Amino acid sequence: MKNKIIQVLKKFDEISDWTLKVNHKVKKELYLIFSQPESIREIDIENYQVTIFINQDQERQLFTGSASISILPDTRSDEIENKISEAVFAAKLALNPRYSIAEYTQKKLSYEVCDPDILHNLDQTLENIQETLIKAIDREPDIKMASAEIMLTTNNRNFITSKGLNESYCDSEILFELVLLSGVGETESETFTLREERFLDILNIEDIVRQYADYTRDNVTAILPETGQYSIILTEESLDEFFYYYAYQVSAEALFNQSSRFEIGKAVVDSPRGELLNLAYDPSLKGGLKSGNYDQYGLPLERIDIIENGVFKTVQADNRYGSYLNIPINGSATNIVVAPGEKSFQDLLEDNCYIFSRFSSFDPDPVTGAFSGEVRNGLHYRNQQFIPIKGGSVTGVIDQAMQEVWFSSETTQKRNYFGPKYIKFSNIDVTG
Amino acid sequence: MEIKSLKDLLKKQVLRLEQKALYASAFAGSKQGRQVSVTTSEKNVHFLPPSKGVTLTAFDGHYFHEKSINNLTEASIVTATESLLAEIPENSSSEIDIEPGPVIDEDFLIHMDINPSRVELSEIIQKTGQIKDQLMSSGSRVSYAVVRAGNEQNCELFVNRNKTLYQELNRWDLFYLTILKEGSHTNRIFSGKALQGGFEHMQVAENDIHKMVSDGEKILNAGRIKPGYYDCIFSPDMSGVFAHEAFGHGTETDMYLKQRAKGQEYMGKPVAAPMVNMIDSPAYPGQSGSFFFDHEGQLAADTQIIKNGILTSGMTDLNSAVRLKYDRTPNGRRENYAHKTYARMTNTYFSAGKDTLAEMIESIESGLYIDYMTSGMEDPKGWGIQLEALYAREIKDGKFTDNYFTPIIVTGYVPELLKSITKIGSDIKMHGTGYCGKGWKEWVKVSTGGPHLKLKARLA
Repeated sequence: MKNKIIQVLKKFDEISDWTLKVNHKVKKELYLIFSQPESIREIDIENYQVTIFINQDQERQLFTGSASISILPDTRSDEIENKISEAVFAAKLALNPRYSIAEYTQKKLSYEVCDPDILHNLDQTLENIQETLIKAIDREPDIKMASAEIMLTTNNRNFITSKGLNESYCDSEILFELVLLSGVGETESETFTLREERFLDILNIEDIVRQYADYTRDNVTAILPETGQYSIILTEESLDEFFYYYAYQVSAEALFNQSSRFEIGKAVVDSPRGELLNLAYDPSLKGGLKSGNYDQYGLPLERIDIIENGVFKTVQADNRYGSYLNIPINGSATNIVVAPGEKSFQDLLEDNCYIFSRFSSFDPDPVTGAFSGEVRNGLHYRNQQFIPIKGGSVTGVIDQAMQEVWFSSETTQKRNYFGPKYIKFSNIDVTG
Repeated sequence: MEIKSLKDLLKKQVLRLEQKALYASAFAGSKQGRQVSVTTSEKNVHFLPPSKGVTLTAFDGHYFHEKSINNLTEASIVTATESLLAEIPENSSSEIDIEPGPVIDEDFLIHMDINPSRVELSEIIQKTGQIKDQLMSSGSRVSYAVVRAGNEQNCELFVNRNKTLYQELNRWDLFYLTILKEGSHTNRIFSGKALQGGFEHMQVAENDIHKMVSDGEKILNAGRIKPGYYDCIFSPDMSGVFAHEAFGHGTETDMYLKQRAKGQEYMGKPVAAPMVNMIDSPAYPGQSGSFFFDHEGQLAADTQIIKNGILTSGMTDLNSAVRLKYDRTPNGRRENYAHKTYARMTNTYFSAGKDTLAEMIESIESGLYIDYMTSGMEDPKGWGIQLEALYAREIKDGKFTDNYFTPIIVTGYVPELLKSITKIGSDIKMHGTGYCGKGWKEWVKVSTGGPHLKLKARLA
């Protein structure tokens, strides 16, 4: 099929460049209600995603138009030709400043993204996970598992470009959802988690069960936080999307659209009083959800230091927006790596501070940096005691919060983040 | 292979599966569409990935087995059937009886006044660009605008031993956002619509654009409110997401099976002020969450969730309906053919009351008008809720002031919020640009709505 597509692409003289992403996905899913299966599913899907690029000169100005289409495995040659023709027509109408895909540069595999157990023993691995999960739950007193969803995927990918790139690789995906219950009657509480990883050892189901069992028990007796301004420590889920604000602000796309607040060479925070942020993109993080050799334009990916000692050092620029701004191109955003600090979690603790691990939803606004979240799990540290709290909310603005920030020396890896496990801020609004 | 042409083949597979399975069905779905986006400095055309495939389902008396494929040749479908059949134990039996429903063979279609496939792409790009230009010229502080417009067509086929149902759902989406800047202040504001039909929906009233940009300018330099409890008026947009998060997710009955919804204990009991009525309905004409039958073959109809303040009904998928012995409602939905079915909302809204917005404002000594919802999150077990919005305007002594606040987060205990409703507007508006997730995945198109509501809420 892919050769059929490439043959058709080559028939179109107007196409300046193209990329073709092939994926054969095999997935097995197990849905449990309490410990009993509700459903078992198998998915076997193949698809072909084509992006075409057309360069045009109009009145001595250079333009590029692009369009993407997807082709299904049972599509006939004449249908492929019609779809590509449609894409060519569309690309000619959607002209933008000139950019191109990357010239081919060979890059050796420098990352691991495929769990061999998932690749070679999908069914058995799923059964093993189920067994591990049930045993882990049984070890937790006063805890019931309301439901679990376990989805294991292997992707067989092939990425081909008109510039000569032809890379084949496999990656694995684990999606794990777990809901735990504790307590009875009016005090019964639940916790929910959804985790996505590539490797079972990074996912670590036993650790997740232990941790969320504690959260669930805490919620049976948790009380509202007090209202006021406090030092807070964010950890676990609350850090999942915290740095996406920076990911947007440092991008060439945001600069091009004039919606970034940052300036190259300048501090990202005014008058910082705590530690300084060091943030990089690393495509070689083992098991990172955004690890890879090449970006979508075929550019080989390398580590980029974006913010160094609190100063915005490098714009993250892919082929498109880098060309628009005429700045060095370094590829799409990959795994976010934040340097840890000097202090341990114990050092960061102070009397009357709050530690927040879970919110209903906590995704800072990428343009303004405003954040808010209803507390689902937290602890109030007072007189050397940890008091479980839930409810109420935390609000703030990232730029202001980061003026006084400390990063823990302990680190964690989740999804596409590697960095401090705990981050402390001062004078944050908590509402109870 | 078009989805519609699979009717006979899938019927044969269902009957083959029922040689061992107690119940079987097949769902075939395809999605296609085209979207144009025009920004201050770019144009893009994006063809929606044409998700097309089949899921075969078999119930063995204990649980459901499913197989999803996207190679739709007869040979592939038959192979998938045989593979699924091999998983079903011999002599399946169960106390759970799944009724296939009445015999029905019908096709349904959403009409389009102007079929987008017959509109020149250049015209769509031009009209999208015009809206972008209107946004850019609507305020001196607008620094960036993006407009996205396009169509989506979903073709869906459901087959079991009695039913053969086919629907073509056509929808037009229009979304527009501006970023405003002044000095070091940056903000964004957005709006849009998603309605069944075609290109005839590709229009925005100039007043609507001016109002949105003007509202964005008002909150550009605004700060946050002092956290506390406030008398509030929710706009229809906010009311809608309140309905969705408060007693929408809390009454999806697949959560009852998992003991995850407190609502289960409150069926037949008061959970809101007596004037409150809440409905979920895929039969609501023209909305983005509307359809003729759900993904398990249940025909569209209204489900009254709250009646006169009493929690009356949940929303079921097939699995939870048969296990809990509830009447089925048309709420079994998949994100697409490759995903499992869950109990999901469609168009969820508070019914209209008799009060006017002017009466609500006049009745408030000190409070806020809240609009431009950005997100919501449910907690069906704890009955907590989180709603976020971009815009709040102060009301003092029965009149609007010129004090604005942004952003706003509403949190609280759902029954408390619902019981605090003291006025319900006579104006219902639906809003359908969003998607609903189930635990951060499984995204389905929904609309939400309602009239203005006056209530008391904790804000920060």
